[in-house]
Order: sequence, then C-alpha cells, then structure tokens
Amino acid sequence: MKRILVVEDNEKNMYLISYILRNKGYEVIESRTGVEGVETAIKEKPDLVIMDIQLPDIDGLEATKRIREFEGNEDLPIIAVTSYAMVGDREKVFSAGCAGYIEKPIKPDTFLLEIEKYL
Amino acid sequence: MNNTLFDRQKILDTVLRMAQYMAGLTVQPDIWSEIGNVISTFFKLDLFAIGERGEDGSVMIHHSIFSDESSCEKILTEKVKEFTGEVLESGFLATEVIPTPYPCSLVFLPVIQENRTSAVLLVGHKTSKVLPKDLLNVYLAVARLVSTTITKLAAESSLQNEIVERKKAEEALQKAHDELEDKVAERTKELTQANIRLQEMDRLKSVFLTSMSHELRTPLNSIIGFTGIILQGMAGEINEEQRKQLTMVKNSGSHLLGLIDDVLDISNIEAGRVELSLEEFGLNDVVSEVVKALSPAASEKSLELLTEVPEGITLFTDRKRIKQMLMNLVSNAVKFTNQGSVKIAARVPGDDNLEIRVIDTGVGIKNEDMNKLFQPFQRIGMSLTKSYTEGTGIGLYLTKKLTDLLGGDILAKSIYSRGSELTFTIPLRYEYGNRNAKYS
Repeated sequence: MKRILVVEDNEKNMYLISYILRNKGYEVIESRTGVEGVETAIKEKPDLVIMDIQLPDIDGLEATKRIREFEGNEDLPIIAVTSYAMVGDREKVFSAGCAGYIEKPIKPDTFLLEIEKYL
Repeated sequence: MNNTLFDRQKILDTVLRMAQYMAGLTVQPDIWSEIGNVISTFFKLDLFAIGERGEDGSVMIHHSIFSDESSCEKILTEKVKEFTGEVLESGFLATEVIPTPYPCSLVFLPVIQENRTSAVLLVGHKTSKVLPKDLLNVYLAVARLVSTTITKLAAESSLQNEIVERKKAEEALQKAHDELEDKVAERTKELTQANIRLQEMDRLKSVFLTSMSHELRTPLNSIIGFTGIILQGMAGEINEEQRKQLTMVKNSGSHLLGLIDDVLDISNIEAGRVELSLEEFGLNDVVSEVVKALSPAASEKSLELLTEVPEGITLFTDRKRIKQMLMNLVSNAVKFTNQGSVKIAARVPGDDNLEIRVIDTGVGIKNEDMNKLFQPFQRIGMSLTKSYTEGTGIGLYLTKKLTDLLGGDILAKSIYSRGSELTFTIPLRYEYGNRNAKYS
C-alpha cells in the first residue's frame, strides 16, 4: 500500500483530498503546516507528497526545498496544489523542486490520474 | 533803451546760450513757467509774460513780470482773447506803445504749435519809442525758438505717454500671462493629483479583484470537489435524479468558476501581471478538447458543431490561452445560435500565422453594435435571444486582450439575423516582442 503525505491547512480541502485517496486505497498521512509537513516527510518517508502552496507558517515552496535537502528524498515526488492564475507559479513550483502541479479546484477523476503518473 | 541790448555779438551769444539751454529742457508739467524763467533770465526785460491759449479760447497767464501787473495782465489777456489767428506779415501779432502808467513799448509774439497759436509772449521795454527792428527780429527768433521747443517737448511728452501706456499694456499683458501660467500650473497640479488618485484606485481595484477572486474560489473548491466525488460514486450509489441534480450543481459551480477566472484574468492582464506558459502543441488536440467540452451545450440546442482543421498544425505559444480564446468564441457562438451550426475553421494563410474562424448561423450583430463588441460589460443582442443568456459580458473583451497578449488580432463580421464570423490571427510561434506593446 502506497503512503501519501498531504500538506494542506484548509480542513475541507484536506477532507476532499484524503477522501479521494483513501477511497482509492492509499494510506494518507495528514499535515496542516509547512513545518509539520517537512518533519513528517522526513520521519514517515512517504511514497509521494501533495503540497499546498499557501500554508500558515512556511509556504509549500519552502517546505519542498527543505524536504529535498534531506538525504534520501532527492527522488521523492512532490506535487504542488496551486491556485489558478498565480503569477509565475509554474516556474516557481518547478524551481522549488516539485515534480508537478495540480490546479485547484480538484476534480476527482483527473486528480487520481495525475497522482498515478508519479507512483 | 539799454545799449548792451544792441551789442550784436552779445545778443547772438545770449540767443545761442538760451537755445542750448532750451534744447536741454525735458518734459515737465509747468513748462511755460520754465520757459518764462529762461527768457527772463537771459534777457533783461522790463515787462514779460506768457499767455497760454487753451483750446477752448481760455487764457492762462504764466510767469509775468509787470511793473503794474493788473493793467498789463489785462492787456495781455485781451490781446490773446482777441487774437483771431492772424499773424502779421512780419511775424508779430502786434507792436504798440501804451502810455499809462508810464510809456511802454510792447511786442506780442505768437508761439506756433502745429499751425495753431498756442501762446502769446509779451515782451516790453519802458520806453515811448518804437523798438528798433533788429531787436524785434531777435524777439521773433526767440518766439520761434520757443515754438520749436514747445512742439518738440509736446512730441516727446506724447511719446513718453505712449511709452508709459505701452509699458502699462505690457505689464498688464505680462500679468495676465503670469496669471495664466499660474492657472495652468495649478490645473496641471490638480490633474497630476487626480491622475495619482486614479492610478491608486486602479491599483486598489486590481488588488480587490485578485483577492476577491481567490476568496470566491475557496468555497468553490469544495462545491466542485465534493459533487465530483458523489457523482463518481465514491461515496456510494446515487440514483438518476440525484445524478441529474448534482450535475447541475457541478456545472453551475464550474460556470461560476469560469466567470471568476475571467475576472481574475482581466485584472491580471490590465495590471500587466500575466506570464505566458509557452509550449509546442498540436492545434487538433486543442480543438478536440473544445468540441468535447461544448458538445453537450450544442446538442442541447440541436446545433451542429463542425470543425475544418487541417492535420498537422503545430503551434509554439500558450496552449491554455489558445484554448481559453476558442472556448470563449465557440461558447458565445453556441449561446447566440438557435438553429443551424457552429463551425471552427483553421488555416495557415502564410508561413507565420494561424487563422481561426468561428462561424455561426446565429442571431448576428447589428452594424451599430459592432464597435461595442470588444468592450467590457457590453451585452449585445440580449433582446433577440429568447432565453436568458448567461454571461458577464467580458468574454469577448478577455478574448481580445488574450489575442493582443499573444501578438495577434481579432476581427468580427456579421450579417444581422443571419450569423456571425469571428476571426483571430496569431503567430504560429510566439516570440518575445511580438506581444502587443502595451504588455511588453
């Protein structure tokens, strides 16, 4: 069973994403801040990380950088969840070390297809 | 009779010095008194007076030396008043000898100014003899000198007046000019401030729209996400009616999202905060996606959705924006067409540009509405469409902005009640610099 870490501060979004993933049979680990997300990623060694960009402490880009710096996480797929039309998001998420990005709002069918590409 | 007066050399000297002195006179209000002073200083006269003749015939006596003032003044006043303008051939007004109170020989001399006798000089000696001709000629010369001097000073005075007037006029002009400049400066300052306020308001509008759009999107994430979950059957079986109603919720949510995205796009484009995401892609794929997305809406109205796109057209530009433009044009065409078809036709007329036409058999656009077509918040032809047509009126405005952004152009043709044809042309390969100057 693949383990997926979801870093997301909005409860409804967290519920939505976790529900879709659990429904598909993935094990979901939940983190609600950037710092917590980094610690969990290092401790739990998930197979994939879904990272929201706007977070209360450090943002998703900074969290991604910190996870990447940690040994053994060089190839860990981190997928950013971005809001529409954020200026320069595309370039920023890739340069921070994200493998891909998914735009909000999340559509259950395409969301799962996107995730499966990285597992 | 004073002997020295007949000394020719001395008289000549006196006249010369007096002429020099008079030449040095400047414009002054009591010029007659001054002239009187000069004459009586240079000549040792027993009687002397100047009678100024006003234009109305009144007489004013200046600088009189009389031994018996009252009688001489009276004589002079009368002389001047009586004077009819006739000057004797010899140049005198009159010469006469009066007996009382003691014998005096008087000479009346005219001062001519612009063909008019403006004053009369009275020169007299205490003698009962008629004055010698030589002396009379000297006095005549003096009278002419006074005439010349007075004429010259009058001219100078009027010149000076003119200069003063002109200076006043110039000063008034300068003042008006300065005031105007001050006003212009003031207005410019007001306009600059108004402009700054407008810019600030424009910035606030953009900030407001951006943050508003983000806030509106957050609840939509849940609405679209969860209806999607239920529709997929993840949360359990649903019946057909529930599916139908939930699909309506989801479609309305997507529609609302589309509108919010349009508003956000426009605010970003207008604020110059747009980044293009360039990639290479096939036109056919994008057209297929658009057709797939809009087929349900077209079949609902029994419209044919046709494509005429040659195989193998590849583009290097912003795929998402091209799709957005096509979505806008085609969904508009579907919206305003009640029967017939909507066609997407593409071609590459030269080497560099792609031309896409969206042709419908819809309600068309009136000639007078053509110029409103690409303006924001204009909703044309609303009265013609039977049902309420959804939209904010920014779809075409946004499409125009996007075409500009990709370095292209958009045109509309229409026959009212027969159909419309919207054509956009964009470079096949986007290059920095071919973007509309406004955004570079």
